[in-house]
Amino acid sequence: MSDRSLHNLDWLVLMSTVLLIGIGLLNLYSVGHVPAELSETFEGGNMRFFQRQVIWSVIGLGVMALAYFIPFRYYEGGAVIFYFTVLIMLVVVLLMGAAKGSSRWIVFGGFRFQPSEVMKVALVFLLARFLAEKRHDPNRLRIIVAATAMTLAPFLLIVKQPDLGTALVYPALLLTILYWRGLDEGLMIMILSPVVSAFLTIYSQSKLQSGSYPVLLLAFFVGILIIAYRRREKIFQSILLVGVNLSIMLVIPTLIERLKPYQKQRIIAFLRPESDILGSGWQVYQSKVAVGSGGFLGKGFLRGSQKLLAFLPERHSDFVYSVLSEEAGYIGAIGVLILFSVIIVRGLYLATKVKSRFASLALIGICSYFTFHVAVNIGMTIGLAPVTGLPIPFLSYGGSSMLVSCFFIGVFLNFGSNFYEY
Amino acid sequence: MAGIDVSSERLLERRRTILLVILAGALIVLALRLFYLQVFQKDHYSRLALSNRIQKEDILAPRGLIRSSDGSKLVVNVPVYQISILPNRIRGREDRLSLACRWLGIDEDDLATSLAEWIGKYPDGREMAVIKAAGKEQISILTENRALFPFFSLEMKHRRHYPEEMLAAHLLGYTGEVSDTELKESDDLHRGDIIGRTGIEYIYEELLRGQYGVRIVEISAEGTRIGEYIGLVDNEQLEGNLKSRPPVPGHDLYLTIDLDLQRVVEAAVECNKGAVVIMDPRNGAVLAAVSRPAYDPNIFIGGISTEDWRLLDEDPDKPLFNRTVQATYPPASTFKMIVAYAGVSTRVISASERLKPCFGGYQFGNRYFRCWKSEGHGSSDLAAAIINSCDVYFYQLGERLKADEFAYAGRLFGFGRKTGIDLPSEARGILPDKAYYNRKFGKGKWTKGHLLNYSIGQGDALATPIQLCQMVAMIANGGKRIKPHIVDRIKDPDGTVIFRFDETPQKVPQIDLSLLRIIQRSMRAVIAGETGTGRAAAIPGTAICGKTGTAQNPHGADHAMFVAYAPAGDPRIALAIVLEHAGHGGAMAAPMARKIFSVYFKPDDETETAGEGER
Repeated sequence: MSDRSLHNLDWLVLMSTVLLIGIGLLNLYSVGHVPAELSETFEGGNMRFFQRQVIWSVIGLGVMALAYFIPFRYYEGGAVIFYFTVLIMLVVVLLMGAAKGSSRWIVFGGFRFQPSEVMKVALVFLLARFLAEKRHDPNRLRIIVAATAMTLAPFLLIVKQPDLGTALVYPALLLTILYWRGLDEGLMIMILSPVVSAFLTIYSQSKLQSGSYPVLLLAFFVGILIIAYRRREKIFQSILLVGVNLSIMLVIPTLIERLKPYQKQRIIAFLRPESDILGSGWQVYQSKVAVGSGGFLGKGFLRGSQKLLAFLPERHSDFVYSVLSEEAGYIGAIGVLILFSVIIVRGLYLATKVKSRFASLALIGICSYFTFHVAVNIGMTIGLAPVTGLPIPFLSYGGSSMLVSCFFIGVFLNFGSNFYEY
Repeated sequence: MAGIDVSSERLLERRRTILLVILAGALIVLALRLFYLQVFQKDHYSRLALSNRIQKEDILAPRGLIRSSDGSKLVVNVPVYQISILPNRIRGREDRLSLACRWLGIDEDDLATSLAEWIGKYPDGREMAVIKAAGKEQISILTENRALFPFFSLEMKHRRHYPEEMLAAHLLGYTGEVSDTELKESDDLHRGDIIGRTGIEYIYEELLRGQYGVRIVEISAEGTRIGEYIGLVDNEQLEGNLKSRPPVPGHDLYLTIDLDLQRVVEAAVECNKGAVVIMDPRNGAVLAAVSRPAYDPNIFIGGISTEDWRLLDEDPDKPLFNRTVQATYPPASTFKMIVAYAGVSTRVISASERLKPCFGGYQFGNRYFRCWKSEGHGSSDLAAAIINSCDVYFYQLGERLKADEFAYAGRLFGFGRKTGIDLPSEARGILPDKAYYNRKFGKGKWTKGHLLNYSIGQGDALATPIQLCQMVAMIANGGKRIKPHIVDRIKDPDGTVIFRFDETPQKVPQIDLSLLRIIQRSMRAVIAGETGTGRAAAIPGTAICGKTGTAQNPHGADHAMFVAYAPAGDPRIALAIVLEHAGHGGAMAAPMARKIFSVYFKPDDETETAGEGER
């Protein structure tokens, strides 16, 4: 163990993590705090989330240390068994759910945990192990299909729960890892551009319109044309690229027209909650008021007023970031973003530095995990992304998310300390 | 160098750059948006946050009413006041809580136990209902001492009330508070909502349930409620949507139930267990339906106690069980019309053919099958056999018929499958065919003896009261397939009729009308003939057609049964009565039918009765 010493430890990442956990705890303390003079009128003064999160944080640090000291070979060696164990748990959750209504948790003594969170770890390791094989060329159909199948199995189980928000993380993990392994960029554009096209087209529809989206759509289409032109030596691919994107932009509006009004309403409420303020848009509206009223310097610790108001009960989980932005202002909001960026950027550099391809791919998966969660969660609190219920790592209340994030950081530090070996 | 060569290292560096650019892009978008909200729009949002704390309050929507066909209310909403406790406001006021418990008559230890359990389950401090329907005194204690007991809240809720009490309880069903799993599955439900659990309340849940309204209210900086939110001076697009929305009540249901007739039937049924169904044979509208024993659905108003629920649920007489559609009985002699139909339509006999005389029983192989009348009936043709309900005649018919021929005729008249009535948990009954016997006894392991039992409606055949009623209605209406139903029309909250039952029954082409006429005439003679088994149902002035039945069953005394329709020429009602363990159909069930008919066809009230028949 002595060579696993701490002098190679990435202190910057560790400090960022500890800071984020600390900020998260302070923030949850504030969420549960009600000023004495208001305690008669507002329910609250509820420290239960804070107290539990303290316990989760301590366990999380333990898990992080554990992940740091587990020898490298166990990660690669155990990936398959781990994946299938968690997959079985997902099936069990679904079956139990079928018996007594929807459920995402497995109850374990007094604790509940979410297999869909643990699956993120399992999938990253499985994909990393599978694609680390030298002969598994990511540009061969067989390999792409196999990797997709590994992702699709948990994806579908979680969509069925139903928890679409969590499920969407998996394709994001798959794409980044495939890309890092060397998936042809043309193919990557081929896969991603229709998604962006569809997204922008839907947002350009009249009921969702906010002005800038049609412009963005047009710009995106011009971008596609430029790419197609630059890759003109592969004329077939280029034509296909333009064709697919163009047809999506043309077909989606007619499809939307054909939907029944209530179906349209659902899609609109999902993508642009503000259009339905009394329904699903209420949280986003309140969240934006919280963030906006925070201003540059914030209202100060425990001084937020929006957190007292109506968007219970998600302010401790999905919308913690808006409480933080209200009390800590732009400075605090950006500070948290920077802390996450430190972890992600260090991860990207470490991924190019490590010797082992498995470690490299796993690190990219970890970066992808943090990027996706942070971007989608913050995007949601400021009205840029749909309300999907994705937690923000270290800040949102929740044991499963905390443990998974800590575990990932432990693995990260482990690979970093031993990069010359792995 | 495990795996990564120089070229791939360059590839990784290139890809790292691209990923860094994408990451930077995302961060810049987030940072700019935050900057826009927190710096450019700060004043706007601060105004919203400080001077206008707005909260959203849900406004309860009343559940739709259920009415009888003439519009009388069968199910209404009544306000009840629920006392709830707010766990987060107790700390430091424990002494006041025990005072409150003493004043309100709450068992403090019980409350402490259930509260601890509640907090373990819902750590977010949500309120827990303590008294579901508070009494007047409790309400006044709380309103007078609001400041003293800030941990209690008083909230008005709608609860269902059944003004006719036990009347048609099984049809109407009852409601219950929504469960956690149901809440998770539906977006439209709120904690504490009531939803239908059985009967009409369950089947028409979606229509009966109203849509919550929303009230936007202003809260002052101190947290007190100022009033309804009107809007800011500098209204922007976002706030344009912040308007209160009124609640939309649920739809009103008008049943086919004839309240007067239902009352008569409720009064006439004087047995412990049994069921009566009355239908309009012209369209399948259920005019009255009674299941015994019954219960008073009003006990569910204040949230039924677990003890009361256990008593009701575990009662061996099963009061919650809707016998009209859920219970199955051997159809016994009421099935003889079907067997007669099967015999003539497959030409194994003709209607006028006389079979071997009945001397009180029938020797078949080494078994002796008894007729219900030990003196015997002599030689009968089809009509006489139905009138006297002669078992020996039907044994001989059963000997000539195949299992599938029974089943075919039974199926024509709706046996062996659900009638499709709009009530939950309808039973299918059993209409045995060859495949059924093969399944149950094994191929070749069953004998004609089973079919002999089948021919008098005993053995494996089982039918629900609604199926019996449907059968007699189809005999009455000349073989037209009807759809038994209980909801006649549905009105939306504006009073517009959005649904009205108007299916015209279609004649089943396979049914032989001339044969049906013979059966109808025989059924007429069951009531009017000198030897008819159903004479006890006869009333002056109206021609009734019927058939008695006495079902042997393994659980005790025979079930008394009676099916009938009237008037013979222009049938307006069809009826099925099953009285569990009551004895002979002719002696026990037929007189009950007479009571019902004599009120329905009141001789001195001809016009009104005719009017009723119009619907």
